[in-house]
Amino acid sequence: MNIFDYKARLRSSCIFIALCVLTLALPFSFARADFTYGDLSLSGNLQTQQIFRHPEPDKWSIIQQRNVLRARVEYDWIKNGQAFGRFSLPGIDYAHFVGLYRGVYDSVYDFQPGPRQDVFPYRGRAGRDGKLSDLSHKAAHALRFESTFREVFTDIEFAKIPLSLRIGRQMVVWGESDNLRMLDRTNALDTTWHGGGVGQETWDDLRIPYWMIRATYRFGRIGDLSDVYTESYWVPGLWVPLKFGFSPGRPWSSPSANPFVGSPTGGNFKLLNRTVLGRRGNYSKSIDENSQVGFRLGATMPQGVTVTLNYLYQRTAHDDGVNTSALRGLNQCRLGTAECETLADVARSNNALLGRGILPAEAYYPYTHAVGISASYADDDYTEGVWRMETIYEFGKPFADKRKPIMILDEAERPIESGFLGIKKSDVWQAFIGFDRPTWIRTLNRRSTFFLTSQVFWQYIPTSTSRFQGQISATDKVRNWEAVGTIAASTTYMRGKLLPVAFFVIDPINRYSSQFGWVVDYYITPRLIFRLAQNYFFVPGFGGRVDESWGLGGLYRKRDETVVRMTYQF
Amino acid sequence: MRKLLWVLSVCGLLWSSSAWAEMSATAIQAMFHPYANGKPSVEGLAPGTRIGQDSWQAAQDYLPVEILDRIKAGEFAFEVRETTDLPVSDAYITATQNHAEHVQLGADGELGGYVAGMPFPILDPADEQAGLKAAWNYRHRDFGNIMQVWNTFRLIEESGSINREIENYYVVAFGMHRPPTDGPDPNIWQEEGLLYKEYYHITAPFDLKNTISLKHRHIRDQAKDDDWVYSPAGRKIRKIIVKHEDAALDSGMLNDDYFGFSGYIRSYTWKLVGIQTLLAPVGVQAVKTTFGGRGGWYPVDPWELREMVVLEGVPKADDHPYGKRVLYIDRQMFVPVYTLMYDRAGAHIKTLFELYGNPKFNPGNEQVRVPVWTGETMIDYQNAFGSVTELTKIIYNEPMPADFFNLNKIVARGR
Repeated sequence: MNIFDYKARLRSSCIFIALCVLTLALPFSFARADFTYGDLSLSGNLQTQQIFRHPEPDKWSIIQQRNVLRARVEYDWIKNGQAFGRFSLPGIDYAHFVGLYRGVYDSVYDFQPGPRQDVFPYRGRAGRDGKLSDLSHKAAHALRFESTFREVFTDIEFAKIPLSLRIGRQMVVWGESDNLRMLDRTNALDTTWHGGGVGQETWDDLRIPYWMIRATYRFGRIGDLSDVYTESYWVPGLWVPLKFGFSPGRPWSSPSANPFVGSPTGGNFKLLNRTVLGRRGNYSKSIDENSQVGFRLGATMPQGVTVTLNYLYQRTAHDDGVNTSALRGLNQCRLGTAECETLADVARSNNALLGRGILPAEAYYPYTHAVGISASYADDDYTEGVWRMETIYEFGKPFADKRKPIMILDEAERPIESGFLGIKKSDVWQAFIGFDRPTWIRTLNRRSTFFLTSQVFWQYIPTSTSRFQGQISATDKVRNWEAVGTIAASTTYMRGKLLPVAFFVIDPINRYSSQFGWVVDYYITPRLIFRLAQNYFFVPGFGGRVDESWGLGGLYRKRDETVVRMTYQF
Repeated sequence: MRKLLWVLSVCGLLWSSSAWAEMSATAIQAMFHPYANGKPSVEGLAPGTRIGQDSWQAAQDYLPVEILDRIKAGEFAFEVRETTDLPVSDAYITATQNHAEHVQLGADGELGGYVAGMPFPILDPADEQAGLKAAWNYRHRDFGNIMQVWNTFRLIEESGSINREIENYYVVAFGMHRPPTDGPDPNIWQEEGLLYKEYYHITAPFDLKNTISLKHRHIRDQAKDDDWVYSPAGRKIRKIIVKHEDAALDSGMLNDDYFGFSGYIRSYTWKLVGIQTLLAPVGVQAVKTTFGGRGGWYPVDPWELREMVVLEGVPKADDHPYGKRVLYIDRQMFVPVYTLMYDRAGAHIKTLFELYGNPKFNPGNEQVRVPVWTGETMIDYQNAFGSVTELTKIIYNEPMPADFFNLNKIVARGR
């Protein structure tokens, strides 16, 4: 670590600790639930979370002890054309600033608990792939703190034109689905927060906020359509893809060990073109090479159907569950050229690269065009529920192509397949239909309804997929059709104090690979909340390996977890 | 001959119209100014009299027995104050005088010929439809054109411990059947057929902050509300179905209950029980009501003798948690001040107080001539529990941009 890194981390730690101290001090001074001074408000929470992993009922180990401070500042800095109550800005009616800070201390990197963590494909004791105490002191300390302003933006509303702008670091969420990332793909995910924690972690914590400009223009009523608007955004060059970590350093992230270890030059293998998996492909983070844009048109139809038409042009983040490849294998010379007359020559050139500690592949995040539709409709009369749908058609997603193997030489100097593959692109169609309904189940709750929500999701790849290689393992198949179903129920008990949620996710294509989870929040006081949650991943009636890319009972089979969390909010 | 008959019939109509106008003008004035000829005075209930566990006898004929029983049990006490004259706006009274004559109930229970003001200012208890007419009067009460409220909603146990506390900003804006004003025409949602829109924005605590809900109430009672919610956790606006007999946060406060009754008129069978002089917590001389007594649930500011319309509503749905609700409506303002809820067996299970104040004591609203809301409390006796709304600030009739309530505005503002 150089001195600048050290200073930066020290500064982050100091900010986090100072804000924690400030937060603890505030409640003794003020009686309100948040702190509002005219147009300025400060709110947030302090949270401590423990995650216990129990791959077997009698084998429990703590894998996370995370302490988080979130502090949110909001300020109306322009009201009625007056900035800060002093300066006249006649063109702008209203402007609102939001800053959301998140400071994290993961104490497991200090006490580094065991035991060893299993990773996919869960081969058993012999295959266990490290424990936190395997990390060097330096590596562990590098991971223990996070200190960042996740969102910093201002909303601006104009006086004479029905236009709103949001400028700054932010998230954009489109679509109608819950937890299915179709039109909700503007912000990639950070699975170093939690890889399989859907249901117990909020998407706000999982999404990576970007610096961007978002504009909403309101047309109002046009003919029979009401609430007509357009919304567009531009991420000017600062996009990053899906972020993930490996075991043992990030035991709650990707269920795999680091595949890049063992470079002959020491440390990890590198990728071609200075690309880094989970960070950057072969492009510069400039407006020219890394901008993302999206546009949607929304309206409410006379029949009450709310509909949006969407278009997105952005790099593939590889975080939507599609079995695409973020690694593009590249031979170092083309077969049949003067340097590489034979396959052995091609393989030899790749071996030479490996000898320098570089893999014959690059991190690959190509641009794709995507079009989509979302809609919702409340049917009061027959089903007494809300129907939701969303569909997206994406052009040219990258799949690993078994017909484009990257060759290396074995010990006997014979060319063999390295495991890296070239890329073939294919379109992908995804869609879902969902149904929500508040429902009385008076035998379980006499006073409040259950909110039931269910979704059926499917995916189709309109190409022969037999040549595609899945990314979970060498036996992983990419199928033309995939499907996932979800159902969730929530209600309230004890006059607002107890809020249980239960959910179930099933993948009927991959041996009914499933996830069952439940979360119970108990409000000890309006400010102090205790949470107990569990996630179970399983494949009913099957003990073998299941290659699936949705993060259910195949990929996360031995990642059953219990979460104990305490939150103090202010 | 035909022409003569036509002239005679027109003359007859004119005569009956002018007669109605003459006859009703007095009745309408009496309706909106019931204390013009003197305020109610009852022996033993002089201003300053304390009504409590040991001194309830004088009030026994001037309170519903269900409330009197709570006083006898020592759950709360109050002082009697002289009745306050709280007339609604002149524009509303004038609109009532001008248009009430033409209002009719259709076969489907909807209003016909309604323009503005109170649809049925003259209620005859002998009229079979008097209850339904009173329910329509309540729907079209004078609530101003726009009400903005900053308040804190608390769920309070009997011990006084607070289960949940939610600070919010609530706006209700009416866009149809408004009496004319000096400014722009307030009937802005005529084309959409929307009587009012409600906007509800949670400002604290942190886990719910910036949750926004939006409701559109149609002018036709047969039409169902449109509801949406923006959740900051999901960062999306979602269309939702709101069951009127459900209670948010297990609060015991049904979605039907707000302001005494906010459901569909068609969902109940209405009966006008009568008009009585009763004690009621009206005319609070502050911005917000003072709560006290058992659990801190009761309004303990002074109560006044008021002319009250007693209206009973029986839910038509078999599975509704209530057997009936009885609204005690202040005759002058036509707002329910307390509402008693009964279960299917006829037992009194809840009391809802809607509190309205004296505008003279409400800074910024001194000139307002609509019922000025000062708080709300629902007491759930079965579960020994209270849901209390405490006001921070209220503003009436301050103009707001018409697109404030638009879905796409919430899309832009959601955070």
